[in-house]
Amino acid sequence: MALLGKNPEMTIPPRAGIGLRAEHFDDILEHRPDIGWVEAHSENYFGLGATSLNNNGGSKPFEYLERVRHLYPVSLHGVGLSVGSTDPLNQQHLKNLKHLIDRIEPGLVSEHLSWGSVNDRYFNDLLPMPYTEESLDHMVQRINEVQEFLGRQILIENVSSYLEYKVSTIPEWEFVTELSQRAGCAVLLDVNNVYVNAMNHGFNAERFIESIPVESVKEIHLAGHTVKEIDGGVIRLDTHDHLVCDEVWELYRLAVNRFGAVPAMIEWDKDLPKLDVLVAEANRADAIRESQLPVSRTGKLTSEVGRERIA
Amino acid sequence: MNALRELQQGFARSVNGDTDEVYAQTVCDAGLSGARRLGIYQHGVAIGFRDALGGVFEVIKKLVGDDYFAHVAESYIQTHPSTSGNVHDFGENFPEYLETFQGLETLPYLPDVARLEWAYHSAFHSPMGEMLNISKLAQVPESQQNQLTLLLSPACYLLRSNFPVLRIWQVNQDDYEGDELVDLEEGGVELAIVREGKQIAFHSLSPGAFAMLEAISFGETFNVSCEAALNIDPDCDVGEILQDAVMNRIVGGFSVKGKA
Repeated sequence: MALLGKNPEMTIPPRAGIGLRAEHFDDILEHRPDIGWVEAHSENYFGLGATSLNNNGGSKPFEYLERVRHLYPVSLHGVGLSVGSTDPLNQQHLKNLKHLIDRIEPGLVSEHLSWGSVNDRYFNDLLPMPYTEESLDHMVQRINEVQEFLGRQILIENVSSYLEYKVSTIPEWEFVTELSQRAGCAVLLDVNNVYVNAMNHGFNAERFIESIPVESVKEIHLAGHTVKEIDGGVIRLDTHDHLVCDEVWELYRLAVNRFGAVPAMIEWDKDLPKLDVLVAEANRADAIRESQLPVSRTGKLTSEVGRERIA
Repeated sequence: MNALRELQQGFARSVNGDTDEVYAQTVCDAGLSGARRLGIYQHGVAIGFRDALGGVFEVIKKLVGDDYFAHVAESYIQTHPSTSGNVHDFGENFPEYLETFQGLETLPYLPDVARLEWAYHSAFHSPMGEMLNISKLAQVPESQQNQLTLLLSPACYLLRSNFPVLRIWQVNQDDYEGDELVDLEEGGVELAIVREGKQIAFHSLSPGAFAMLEAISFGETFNVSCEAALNIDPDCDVGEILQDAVMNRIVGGFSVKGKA
C-alpha cells in the first residue's frame, strides 16, 4: 500500500460536486473529472479497525476514499446516526464517525433531520419527525450532543416525506430555521426534498426556500425523484435514480439567488449511470450558478478577484 | 419526550407490518390514507434490507432465484431486525438462518456458501493489517514462549465446510468461464479468506494448518495451537504453516502475556 502524505487543506469550494459511489471509484481515480468536490456516505467507510492491529489501515472502500481525498475535497454525509430517535445516541456509531473524521479531515460533515431507530431496532431509513415543540427541543439537544462529541459544527439536511403527522404544529421551514438557530448547526438544503414535500403535502416550495435564513445554508443537494401513482393519487418518492427535473433546477436557481455561491451536490444512489452523466449534471449546476452570480471557476467572487488585482 | 417516543414506537410497529388502525389515525390522510402512507415506509424499509442482503449474498440469490430469495429475506428481516445504523452490519446471522429455513433442506450447502459470502463481505470492510514482524517475534525470550499468542489479521476469516463451497462460489461469479458443473461429492474445504490489497484471496489450508489457525482464532497460546495441528496431523511442519500464514497475511501479530 502506497503511503499518502498529510491530507491537502480542505475547504469545500462553492462549486458543484457529486456523490462518491463505489461503482465509480476506479473511473474517478483514472479520469479525474472536472468537479469541485465529492461527498461520501460516512457509514460506507466505517471499517477502520480502531481496535485492530493497525491503526493506520482501513477497509477497501476507505483506502479508495483516502486516494480520492488527495484529488478532491471531501464532505462526509451520514445516513445512520438516527439523530431524531428517542433512544440514547449510539455512542459506537458516534465514535466510528469521529474516527473517520479524524482520518479524512472532511470539509463538511452532515446528518439528517430524521430518525431511524427505536428500542435498539434500526430501520436504516430516513423517517420523518413530527414538527412539534417537543420534537424541536429533542433535536436541539441531540445536535448539541453530536457537535460536542465531534468538536465541530454539523449540517442538518431536510428530508423527503410521504406523510404528515396530525400533531405537527410548526411548518417544516420554520422547524429547520429554529433548529439551526437554536442548535448552532448549519443547513444542508436539499432542493429536491423541498420540491417533493411541497408536491406531496401541498405547500409552496418557493416560500420554504425564501424562509430559510441566508447565512445558515452551507450546502445544497440536488437529485432526481420518482412520481408514483397509488390509489389514484400521485406521490413523489425520493429515489435518487433519475436526472434532476426541470422544476427542481428552477428552484435551484431561486436558491442560488438567495443563498449565493454555496457548494451544491448531485446525489444518485440507485440505477447508477456512468460517471459522465453525474459530471454533466454537476456542470449544469455550475452553469446555473455562474449565470446567476458573478463567480469565477475558483469560486471567488469576481469582484473580489478584481480587488485583489488592484491591491 | 413521551409523546415523541410513543409516536416513534407506533411508527415502528407499522413499519414491521403490524396493522395499527389507531396509529394510522395519527397521520394526515390528504388524498391518501394514513395507513397507505405508512405502507410506503414499510415497503421502502423492506426493500432496503432485501437489497442490502442481496448485495452481500449474491451467490445465494443466484442459487435460489430472485423470488425465493425475496421470500427468505422478508422472513429474516422480521426475525432478525437490524441493530446498527450501518447497513453493512446487516446479515450476520443469515447463514445460520438458512440452516433452519423450511424448504431449503434439499440444498444443505447453502449455509456454508452464505458463510463464505459473509466472510468475503467482512474482509472487504476490514483493514488489512500489517505483515507480522518476524524478527520481533524471534526476539521473544525462550522463558516467555509458553505465553506467546499469535493473532489473526483483522481481515482474515476461517471457514470449514463439508461441501466444495469455494467451487460453488467461483462458478457463480459473473465473469466465470469454464466447467459449471460442481460435484457435491468432491469433498469439503478448509479456507482462510483474506484481504490482499484490492482483492479478496482464498487460501486452501491443510488439515493441520486449519487446526492451528483455528486454535489461534480461539485465543489459544502458540504452543497449544501447535499441539492442535500435530494432533490432527503428526507429520505436519508447524514452522512452515506459520511461515505461510505470515506470508499470506493470515496471521498479523502476536502478544506475550496479553501485550501486543
